[in-house]
Parts: sequence; structure tokens; C-alpha cells
Amino acid sequence: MKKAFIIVFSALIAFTVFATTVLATPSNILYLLNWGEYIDMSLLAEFESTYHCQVVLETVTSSEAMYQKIAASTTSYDVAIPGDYTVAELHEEGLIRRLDVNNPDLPYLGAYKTSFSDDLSSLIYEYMKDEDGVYNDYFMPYFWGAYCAIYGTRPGEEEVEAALKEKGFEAFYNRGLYSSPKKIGMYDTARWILASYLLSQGLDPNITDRDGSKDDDLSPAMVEEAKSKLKEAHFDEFGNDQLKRNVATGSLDMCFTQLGDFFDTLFLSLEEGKDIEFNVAVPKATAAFFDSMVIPSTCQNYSLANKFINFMLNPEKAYQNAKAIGYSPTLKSVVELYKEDARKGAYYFGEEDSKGSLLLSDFLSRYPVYLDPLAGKKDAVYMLEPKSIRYLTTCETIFNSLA
Amino acid sequence: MIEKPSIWQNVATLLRAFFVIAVVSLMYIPVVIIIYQSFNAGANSISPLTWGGFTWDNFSEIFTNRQLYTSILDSLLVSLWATFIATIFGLFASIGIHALTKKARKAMDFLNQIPMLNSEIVTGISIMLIFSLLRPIFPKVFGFVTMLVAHVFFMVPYVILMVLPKLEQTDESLFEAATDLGCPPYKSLFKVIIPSLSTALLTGAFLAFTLSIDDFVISFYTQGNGFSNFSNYVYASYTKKNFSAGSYAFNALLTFATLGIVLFAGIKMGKKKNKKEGK
Amino acid sequence: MKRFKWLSFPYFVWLILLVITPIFVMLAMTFLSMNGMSFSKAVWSVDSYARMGDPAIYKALWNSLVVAFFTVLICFALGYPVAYIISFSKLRNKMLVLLVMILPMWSNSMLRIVSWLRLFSTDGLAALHLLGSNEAVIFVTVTTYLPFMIFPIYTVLEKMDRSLLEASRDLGVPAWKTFLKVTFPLSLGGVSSGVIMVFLPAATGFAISQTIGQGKVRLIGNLLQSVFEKNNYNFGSLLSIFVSLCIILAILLIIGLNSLVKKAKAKLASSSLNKGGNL
Repeated sequence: MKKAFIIVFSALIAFTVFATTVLATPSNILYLLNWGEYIDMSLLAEFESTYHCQVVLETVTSSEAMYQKIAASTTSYDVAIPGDYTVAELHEEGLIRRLDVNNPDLPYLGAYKTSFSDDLSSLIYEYMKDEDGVYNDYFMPYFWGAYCAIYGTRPGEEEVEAALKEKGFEAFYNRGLYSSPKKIGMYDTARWILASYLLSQGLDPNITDRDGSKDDDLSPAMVEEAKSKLKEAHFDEFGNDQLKRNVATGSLDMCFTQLGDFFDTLFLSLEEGKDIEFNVAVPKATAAFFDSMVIPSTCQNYSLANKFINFMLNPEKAYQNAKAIGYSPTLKSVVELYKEDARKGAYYFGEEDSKGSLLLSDFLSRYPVYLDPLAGKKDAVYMLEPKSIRYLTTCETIFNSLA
Repeated sequence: MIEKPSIWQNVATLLRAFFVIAVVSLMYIPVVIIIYQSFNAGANSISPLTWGGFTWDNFSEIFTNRQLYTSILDSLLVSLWATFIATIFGLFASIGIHALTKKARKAMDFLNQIPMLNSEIVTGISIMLIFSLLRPIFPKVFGFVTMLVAHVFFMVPYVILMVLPKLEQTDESLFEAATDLGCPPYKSLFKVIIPSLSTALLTGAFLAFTLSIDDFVISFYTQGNGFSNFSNYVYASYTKKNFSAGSYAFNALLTFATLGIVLFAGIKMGKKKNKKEGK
Repeated sequence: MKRFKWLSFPYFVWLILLVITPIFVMLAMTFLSMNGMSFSKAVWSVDSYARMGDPAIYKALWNSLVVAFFTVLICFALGYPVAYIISFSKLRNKMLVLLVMILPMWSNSMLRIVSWLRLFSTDGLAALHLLGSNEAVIFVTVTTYLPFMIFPIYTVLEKMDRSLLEASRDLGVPAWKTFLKVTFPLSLGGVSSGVIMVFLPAATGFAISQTIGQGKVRLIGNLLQSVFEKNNYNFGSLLSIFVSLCIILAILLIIGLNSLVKKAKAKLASSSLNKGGNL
């Protein structure tokens, strides 16, 4: 018995020693909280070797989950990349720290006032204002875009495209637009679902009542309306990352998502040599979004966190990241790099003679929304505003009533 | 009275075998898919389960994909330590409970059932809440410590469940004899009582380990600071393009290893039996 | 051995810390409206109680019970015969058959669920629209937890006193009657632990309903998980307590049934003893 105990115990110790050596982490660790499929892994590796540290990556699937992770701080994240309204909430709650923008060693961070593209800058200016002015030194835009629809372009799916072009997001809610049943996927974030419904009605996605007021919570009438309309929509799937793939493979005709998801799927399909039988539509009345790098106040490695953000704002790295991820770049300089490469005849995918290759210039002209997510005449561009927990819980209640 | 089995009996036997095989194969379908995927170069293709050619690359991913091997090692670290601690904890708790008066025992039996009968999700949330209260003092407590505590918490009752009945059956007179002969009581506990429980301890530890290594929900709520486990790695990344196909490979490897051990043990056992019968 | 009483004390403290404290923390939190666990900004309120009026909660609960009920039912219908056939077969190496049955459990459950998801979304099967339905969720839950039903039943059947059955046969009682009057009642202990072990994860899990249910099958576990994900610890605590109460009620029901059966068993045992005396 004693022998067995000693053998088991020493084996356990040996394994622990082995595991901890394999997992050996330099004292320098950067805890990064991110969305899935949202950073070029080779950039992480490069950052690790440059700064002799290790990046520990954790991913979430919704802005609310991102907020929860930071607020609950079961992990003390050093850098997080939440969406716009989450940044505003975090700022209001004092959960994020001011960035080290005056550090001469971090030039890209220091240039934040002029480096982001103009459309985005004006959006930010409108949106991120509090009593003290724009608190732009708390966050650095990472990628941006608009809410959109990915839809199939196979034979029989023409109606979907027409409906989207003409009616915008109403295409998700008005089954009467189609002569045959269509399979429609909706993002499983309760707040986005409500936003998609309000947009489909030509309304500001932030209102809490039909009269246009913006209160702490949705009015009972609005709740009832949303419940019944969403039920009538009979969505065929609620999901997140899986939706875009399902449109690409044809098991869905259309899904509601963010712009970058489309480019991500496009690239994957090109890589697999598949025919591109899907396209993207950004309706005339839509909402824009931008995700930003922030440093949570629980951060344990402030200087490394700033170095990381500075690293990701380096135009060269940001360009590489954008090419790998497929979301729209926020930096002016990266937009220029794209245009320059397009002039030089670079390829978006593949090489000169390879099968399925796509010239960067063709790509940019085919999908102008890539570099300019709000391209084309827009009726209205909204941003989702920070909302109370009460409001979010009510959204959740609406979502739950759909099952 | 040995009768020759009739045709009907044969048919019945065949039907029974068929039923068992059908049910078992239902459980094997996902295992077959996992093995198929572990050799599939297109394991992560947009169109699910398309064959992208044969490859060994998925197996080398186990050693090269840091997120994957970290989650595997994390799983093993938590489960092995939790099994070890829970087994010892459960053993001494059982001895203590065994010694209690009837009334106190009833109360303990009831308390002991709670971790087993409470839903995993509530257990996970409970432990998360308790440790969240400690966070102001220990900011990095989430991770190995919380997961270890949570796993030990749900494993101990299973160990006790295995050990306590064996303890009831143990002949206490041996223990009394040892003490009467001048052996100090704790020495006799270790020399007489505990060795008689070794099989029960082993079964308990095995059961606990099996539940722990596969745990998803409780670990979901107690992970943190980059420390997670394999189930949670799969859950967090199965929809992503960077989901490592090495996950399938690792799992297939585990299946092959277990199968090998099972077959080896089976053949050995069969031989033993044959020998016995031969004699 | 009474001197070892104190050994139960650490476990007692451990259970109090991890079972009783969370209940009080949760109870307190149901009255504290706040964002996550930021106590500094907490406000007393009964908001969470008002939220309990939401019909979606009861719908999710009902749906969970339906899914769990059918899962248990199918697991029983498949698991009992399998356990019975193996236990009563003349196979030489029953252990080996059993091990073959455990093998799928050595594949990570999350990965098995993902494999089903991939299989159901292949071009051929996607046309059948299996995903996103209660039936698909039940099917996958059955294949995941079936072993939890088979093993307890098998263990009880193996331990059963075969002489009782032989006596019954010798007395000329038909096989089906022996099964109904002797075998089945005697195996109910195993059935009830199997039922609990399948019922619990089936009713409160959230991974299968989320993946296979495609967000359209909302169980109470999904609700609880999403409430905590939205940082609503206040309402989440109340919901946790509510779920626990429902589970305890369900378990009491199962245990109550079991104790009734136990009484019947005692009766049966005494009557069979009498029969033995008569012989």
C-alpha cells in the first residue's frame, strides 16, 4: 500500500514537472481576450518572439460575453478587443485604462489622432463623446464594418438578392417576399436580433418604443411587437460562426452578420477551390460597428499591453492582419497599402496562373465595401448604443420566447 | 440437464446479439467519425466531413498546436491531481463517516449526496461565485486552483460511494486484534483497514478520473487565466477555422491506446481462464 | 474504530463551505441588483423575482423535462435489454464486452457531440433537417449518456442472486413472469441510479441543445448560461436556486419510487425465504 502510494505520488510529481516545463511560460504573459478567428496567429507568434513573452488567447462569441469576462475578471486580461458599445460601457464603468499614448517608444499608438480613416473617425467622433470630449485615448479601433447579410447566389436564390437590394433587412422578416420557402439564419446575440428587426422597420436600432424614445428599458408594447414579429420570421437557425459557413455550403439561403464574416468565408472558399456561390449586401439603412483594443483596469502587465497595441497599429502588421482576417482595416495607411498593391497587380488570392486566383484590384472593385464599409448612398447609418442590463435582459427574454 | 439448443433458441440468441450490436454501434458512430477525421486532410473544410486526402499531419498537430496541447496537458494536470486528492480525501472521509453515530451519519450521507445530485451547471456556478468573492484578495485564483477544487468537490462523493460499502463489510475484529496486541490505532488503520479497501479505492479513483477528464460544464465556469481543459477547448473553437484537427487525432490516439489495453487484457484473461479450465 | 470520528470533520467543513455557503451567497444575491459581482454599486431590489414571471422560463423548464424524460425513456428501453442480455448471456468474457461498451466513453463527449453535428450537416443529411429539433437533441443526448444507464443496471443484474431465479424456474414459473416478478423488481435499484445519472445531465446541460439544437432548442441550462453570460448574477442566482429546487423535487420523486420498490423487494425476499422453507 505504502509502495503503491509512493509510486503514484512520484509519478504524479514527475508528470507535473514535465507538464509545467512544456507549458513553461516566461514571466511575461499577455492575456488577450478576443473574438474567434479574429487575429493572425503568425502575428501573435512574431509578437511573442520580439518581446520575449507569451500571449494567452481566450475567445468569446458575443460582445455581451466579452463585457462579462472583463467585468467578472475571473481572468485579469491585459488586452481585450470589444465592440463599440461595450467599449462605451466599459469606459463608463471605469473598467478600462487610458492607453500610454504619450510614450515616445510607442509611435503608432501616439499617432492615434490622425491615423484612422476619415469615415471611421467621424463615426467615432459622433459616437464616443462624453462630458470631457472624445475619450479616444482609451481605445484603438482594430477592425470595423457594417451589419450585413450574406446570401446565396445559386439558381433559385435570386429572390433573396432582389429582396435585400430593395427592402434591406426587411428581407429577413417578410416571408411574403419569396415565392418559395427560404432558409434564413439569425445571429444568436439577443441584442443584434432586436437591432436587425428595428432596422428592418426603418427604425433606429436603439429606440425603446415606437415613438422613438430611448429609455432604460424597452416598452411593453415594443416587447410584444418584437416577440410576435420575430416569431413570425421563423428563423431556421440561430448561431454565430457557423452561419456564414452554412450560407457558403448552401444549407442556408441567407444570414444576418457582420461584414468581416463574409470576407473570411470568401477567402476560405477560395482556399478550398470552391465556386463562390454567395455574396454580401449592406442595406441602405444599417448599423456600423468597430471593435477596439482596450486595456482592462484589472490588467497585470500594462507596459506589455501597450506594446501589443502599438505593435498591432504598425501599418505593416495591421496590413498583414487584415489580409489574414478579412475584416475592413481601420488605418488610413493600410487602405493605401491595399490600393498600392492593387496597382502593382498583386493577387488577393492565389498566383498568376493558379486555379481560382483573384486579382486584388478585381477583388476591390467587386467588393468596394471592403475598404469602405459604408460605400454607396446610405439612407441611415446607426451605431448601437450602450444599454442597461435591464434592456439586455429584456432582449434576452424576447430571444428566449422564440424557442 | 443439458439440452441441445433448438433452432428458435438460436434465432433468439442471434436477435439478441444483433440488438446489442445495434445499440453499441449507435455509440460508436461518433467514434468512427473522430477516427475518420483524424486522418482527414480536409477535417476542417467548410463542407463538413469531405475527404481531403489521407494525412498524418493531424497527429503532429498534437505536439505543435500550442492551444491544443496546452488544453490537453491542463486537462491531465487537473484530472490526475484531482483524482489523487479526491481518492485520499474520500478514503479518510469514509473512515470518519463510518465511525459516526447513526444520527450524524444520516446527516453526512445527505450532505454527501448533494454534489452528486445537484446539476453540474449549478455546481459550477456555485464554485465560481465562492471564488469570485475571494478574487479581491487573490486576483489570479481562477484557473488551476478553482478547477482543482471544483473537480475534487464532485469526485469525492463517488469515491465515498465506492469505499463506504466496502468499509461496512470489513471485519473490525482484525483491527481490534491488532490494537489489542499493542499496535497503535493509526498504525493498525494503515496496516489492516486501508489495505482491505484497495480495490474499492481503485474503482473509485477510476470512476472519478473518467468523469473528471470528460467534464465540460463545471470546468466551463471555473476556468480562467489561460487555464482550461480539452472539452472547453473543443467547445470554444469547433466553429472556428483554426480549430485544430489534432483534437480528433488526440482522441483517436486515446481510443487506439485504450482498445489496445482492453484487447491485451482480454487475451490475457482468456488465457488464464483456459489454463484454469485445462487443469 | 470510533476514535476516527474526527476524520469526517474536514469533509464536513468542506461540504459546508462548498454546498451551504453558495446557497446563502446566491440567496443574498437574488436581492442585490448589480453588474456582475461589483458589490460597491449594488442596490437592494426584488427585480429578479419580478423576472420569474417570464413564461420563457417555464417553457424552457418544460422543454428540459420533455427532453430529459424522452432521453431517459429511450436510454432505458435500449440500455436495459443490453445490460440484461450481456449479464445473462453465456459469454465467456463478459468483461471484454463491457469494456468494448466503455470505449466510446473514452472519447471526449464534446468531440462526440461535434462529430454528430458534422455528420448531420453533411450535404446528404442536411436535406433531412435533423438539426435544430428536439428529436435531434434527444437522439444525441441518448447516445452520449447511454452508458450511464447500462452500467448501473448491469452491475445490479450481475450481483443478483441467481438461485432465486433458478428456484422460480424450477417451480415452473414461466420466464416472462419470473422476469416481471423477480428479476425486474430486484434490478430497480440499478434502474433508479441509471435514471438519475441520465436525467440530471440531460435536463440541465446546455452544450448539446446549443450545438445540435442550433439555438432553436432552448433548455433551462441554456437560459441559465446566457443569463450569467449577460452578467446578470442577480437573476442568475435566483434561477440557479429555482433549477436546484426543481431537480431536488424530481430526484425525491425518483427516490420515493425507489423506496416503495425497496419495500416491495423486502416483502418478496421474505416470501421467497418462506418458499425456500417449504421446499
